[in-house]
Amino acid sequence: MSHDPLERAARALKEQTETSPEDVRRLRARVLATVGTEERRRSKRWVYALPLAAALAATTAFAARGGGLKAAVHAVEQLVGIDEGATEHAAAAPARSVAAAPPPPAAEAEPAASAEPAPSVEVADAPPAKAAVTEELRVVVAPPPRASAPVASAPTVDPSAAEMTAYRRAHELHFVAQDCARAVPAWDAYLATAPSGSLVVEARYNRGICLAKLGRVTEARTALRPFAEGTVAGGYRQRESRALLDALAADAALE
Amino acid sequence: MSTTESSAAWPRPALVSGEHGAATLVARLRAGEAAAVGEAYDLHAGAVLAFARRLVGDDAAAEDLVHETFVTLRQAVRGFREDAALRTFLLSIAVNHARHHLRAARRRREAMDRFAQETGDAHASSPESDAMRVDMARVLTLALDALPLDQRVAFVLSEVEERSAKEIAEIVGANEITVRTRVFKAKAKLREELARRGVR
Repeated sequence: MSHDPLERAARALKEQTETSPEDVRRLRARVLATVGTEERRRSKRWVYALPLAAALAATTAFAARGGGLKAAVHAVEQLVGIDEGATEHAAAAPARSVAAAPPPPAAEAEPAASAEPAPSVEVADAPPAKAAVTEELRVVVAPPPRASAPVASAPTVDPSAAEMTAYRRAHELHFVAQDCARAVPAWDAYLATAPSGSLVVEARYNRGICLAKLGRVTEARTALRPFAEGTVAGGYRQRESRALLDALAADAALE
Repeated sequence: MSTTESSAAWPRPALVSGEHGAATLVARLRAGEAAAVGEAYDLHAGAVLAFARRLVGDDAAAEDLVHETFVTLRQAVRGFREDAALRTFLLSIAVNHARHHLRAARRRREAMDRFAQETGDAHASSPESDAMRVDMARVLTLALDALPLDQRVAFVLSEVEERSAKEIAEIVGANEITVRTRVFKAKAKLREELARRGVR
């Protein structure tokens, strides 16, 4: 064995982080589910893109024939701040010209999938919330929201022992015991113990997932809506929350 | 983190083995074929996941990083150079996406480290030898948090994954001298960090 502590540590890290086929298999389902979801989104995008493109062509043709195209272009230039004679054009351009400005291209109407945080999948350790849950819910729902899920700007308060004990208890009930019925009150207890704790974002999200699993759809929607709207910690789990809420809505529509 | 068989032992599916198969796979990825992502995953995910774990030091963040790497592969592959290996390219995608995941993992690690210090029960249930290895790996991961990302990537690829300077240079898009300098600086800082944390 090497006497160099750095070499020993590097070897330890290597051994400690080797992957098993099971790890890779588990993650595969998540990756392919996301890729599949993107495929569906991509094909759906055309449904919106084609009418938008048609509307753009028609509007542009109309504006060109009526002499409004130039004014429309100037109006857009003004909006984006590239028009040198902005003041003059603004006075000359009628309000109709602004309205005739082309609608945003399809990419703006629906943001590119790759620009968003990747959605995820809950795999083996997520029993379906109820028998009627849709296939999409099972596939697209977020991964077990482990304590180490990425957070953009969560609060950074030093965790107290009580806080961490409460978090660990809720985490174990959720992910080890997979007992959401008991995990929800445990997440509530954590949030009551540490309302501004360092793991509040994760706790809120995990609680929402548990509520969805339990079929408490209304409460799950309330819990996850802020995440889906991107107002929590700079968009933490936004896409997953959106996907889950969509799936819950689809599920409700089937009933 | 689990410790089982090495990612190097993963079989290569016959379907895409060989240069022709790899070129076909890249072409299919470029065409946006979803099934090609699955095949690329089957070939390279083990190596990418192992690297991600070593780099970010956190299983969940590593999985998120691998997820992002493969999900963005079809778009990223447009910039793939034919003379490079797809695995090298995947590692470079992972490096490009690592910063965000690393930041999240580091923040969590700090919280958990404080938690372990307060409760003193971090590895109470591990057998002694495992506990030593776990502890060494954990201390090194904490020490890696003190490095800039470029040095961290260079150290992990060089000293943990034992890759050549040439290969690392391809992955990170720098020349070999730069890579060696980064590794050198990283090692010097890490020795200090380890000594500060009582590892001798």
